[in-house]
Amino acid sequence: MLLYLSNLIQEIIAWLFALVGLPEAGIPFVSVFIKAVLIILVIMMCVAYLTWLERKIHGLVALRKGPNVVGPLGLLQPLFDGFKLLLKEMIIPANANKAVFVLAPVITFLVALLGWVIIPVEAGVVFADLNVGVLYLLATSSLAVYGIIMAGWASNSQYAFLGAIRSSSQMISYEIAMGVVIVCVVLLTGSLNMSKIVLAQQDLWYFIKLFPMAILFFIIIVAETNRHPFDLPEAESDIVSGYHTEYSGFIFALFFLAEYANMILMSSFFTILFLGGWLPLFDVAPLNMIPSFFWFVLKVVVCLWLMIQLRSILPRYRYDQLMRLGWKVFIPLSLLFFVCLAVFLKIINYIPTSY
Amino acid sequence: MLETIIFYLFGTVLVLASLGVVIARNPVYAVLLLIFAFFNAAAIFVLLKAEFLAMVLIIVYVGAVAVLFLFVVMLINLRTQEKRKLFTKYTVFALVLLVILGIELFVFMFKGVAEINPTVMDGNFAQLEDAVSYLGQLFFNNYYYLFLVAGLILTVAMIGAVIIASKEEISNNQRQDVFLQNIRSRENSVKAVQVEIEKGIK
Repeated sequence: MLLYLSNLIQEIIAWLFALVGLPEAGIPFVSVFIKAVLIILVIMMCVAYLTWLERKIHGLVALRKGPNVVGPLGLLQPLFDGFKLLLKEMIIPANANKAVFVLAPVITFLVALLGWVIIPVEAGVVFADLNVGVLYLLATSSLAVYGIIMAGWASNSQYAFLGAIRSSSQMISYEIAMGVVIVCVVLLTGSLNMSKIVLAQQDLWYFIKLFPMAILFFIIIVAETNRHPFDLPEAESDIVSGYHTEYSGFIFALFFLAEYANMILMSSFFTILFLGGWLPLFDVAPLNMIPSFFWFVLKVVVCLWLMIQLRSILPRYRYDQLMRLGWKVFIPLSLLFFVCLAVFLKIINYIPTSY
Repeated sequence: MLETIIFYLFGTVLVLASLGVVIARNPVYAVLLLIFAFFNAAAIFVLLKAEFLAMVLIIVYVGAVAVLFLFVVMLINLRTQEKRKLFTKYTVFALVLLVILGIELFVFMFKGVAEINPTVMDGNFAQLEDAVSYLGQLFFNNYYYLFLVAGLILTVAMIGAVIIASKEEISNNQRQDVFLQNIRSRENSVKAVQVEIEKGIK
């Protein structure tokens, strides 16, 4: 369905070029630009309604109604929240390093969007089908640290700096375990390409094949996105609101949007690695009639729902417990599983599916 | 044509950013510019169809090494005067390094990579569609011995760093044990006592 849409856009652009009489060499540039803008718009809409979903779920858990005043079911609430953030005053502290202070949220936001380049939402529908897709996603997720460190340093405030230090050490520690879990998936697939990883799960999802690692990976992505119960960088009870203590107005909105865009990105990453991406639950008649794009969205929403519900039902970790969990539990566990898996695959003489 | 333009664009920015690393007064700016330079180097790798190398450059150098640089620079708060002193102290050393690097660069420019090390060019690396799997074949078949040795060296270095860092902590008896904290329950830590008046608890 999306493949058809993408081809339609391409054809419309080609037709317009012929109409105006521009050189045909420009068509790829314009179509890439338009597709990028479309992707960003869709992600921003998803982020807006994710905040709505989050508040509704928290409401359900706490036996409240959640947003229900603006529009039917409170559906217009995210738009009004957005306008409110745009209209608010943007305060830059007097002692802050102004250039870095403004650059930090921009970088965080940009990095949150970068990962979307390689997410295949349907067979063949992907902005750039890189051969090193998984590595690309690891690289972009390791960049997210910079926006946070820069924000913490440039704010010239103790709370912000403490939040930045917490956040970066947390993200670096959990990235190692994340890498090892991904290597397990790559070992079974034999490819770093995201589409090939999805297609390799046609008979059985990796969620079942690599069961304990899938759970581990889910916990790791919660920690990577600095979400509850690992949201120590912005633990309001001890360090006000962490690295974005000094931010307000639109530059705060960029941090906010980046956090939610990262949540959706990491959920889609989990969906692709373990839940079979756009593949239907079972390849039987009523289920595989549904367009594959909807399956992808459904799986991502289930992941997001879990992440949000974790926030409303779990207490926050203490910082040393968080570090212990990362270094002394997750890394040894994932390494052990990886070695066992490699030995097992060698014994049964397994040949990766996409080889 | 387009690739040449992009190459010169990234190349120019790379050189300017590297110059900025050396010139910048504020050490934090220097590290940020260094990260920017890494990015441009990665972009040039992508142009050479070495995507794997580009991604590893970003993951290892930008994602891990430069973060530590940035931390150190932000936490120790260098003074610019001290930097001036260091500058005069190490001028001779820097000049010697410059000459050596310059000679190496000229050797490469006039002889070309293929003449110095012909093994680099074998196997039509750039023509392969999936350069990653080719790299994997090389690593784990032809050079597995070197790969193991490199891994061993890194492990030893890591253990050394852990030992240096944990030396003080061994004598410090205020450490928290999560297991002990978790098995601690109300029954074995809280005692309800009827206190007799004017006697107290022993």
